[in-house]
Amino acid sequence: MGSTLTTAFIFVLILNVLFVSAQASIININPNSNMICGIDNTLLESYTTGDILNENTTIDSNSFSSSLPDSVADADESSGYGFLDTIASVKNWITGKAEIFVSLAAAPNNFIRCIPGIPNVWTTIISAMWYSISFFLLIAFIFGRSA
Amino acid sequence: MIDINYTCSYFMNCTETIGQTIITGTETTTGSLYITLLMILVLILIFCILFSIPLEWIAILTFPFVLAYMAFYSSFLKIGLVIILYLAFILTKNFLLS
Repeated sequence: MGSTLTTAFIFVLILNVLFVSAQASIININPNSNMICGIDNTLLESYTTGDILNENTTIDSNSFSSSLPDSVADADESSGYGFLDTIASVKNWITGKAEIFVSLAAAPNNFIRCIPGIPNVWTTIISAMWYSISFFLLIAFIFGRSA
Repeated sequence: MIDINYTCSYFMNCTETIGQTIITGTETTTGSLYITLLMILVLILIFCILFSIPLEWIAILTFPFVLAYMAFYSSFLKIGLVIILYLAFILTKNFLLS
């Protein structure tokens, strides 16, 4: 292995995992820390106990996660035609479960926006750049491009 | 100055030797607990450099310290960000590509 784009893709994935685990660890050590602000709509949301809206939560690391894809999805039967229902079922499954990759790619955003002292404009710019780079590397990895 | 109620009830145990050392050191030498904790980190760094310990080991060994500091004092979040970025670089380079 030596492809630059594959290296970058693996780096992106590892960095996302490190940010998620650092955030979970910090909230576990001190439930009143700054990192509580970045916990909604992330991978950690299914592990929280308590009230998210009032930011009064802790993380229960042993609870069962419901955010990973399960095996069988329900078929969509809204229109009654087989072709349209098949397409709708496949689309709903993909967009529902691709949420995992989006939540993982959102990990640096949820970490950095909780740091006090960094302006919101900068966090938005960094997050937009991070999403774009992740998407570009994923596409390059799927199509087998190497630098 | 130190917020004694906050630190002694959430962050550390103030009754024993090391706790009393940190608190009296903060009240007399530095002005804030942030600088005292930063000095502890810098002393560990100097100790590791004196014994020629590689930078990767220093990052891996000091990361739990910085994690506990980050949980209680938000000024350490930027230092922790740098260490997390460097740790990701180390993990990618050494463990998943060779």
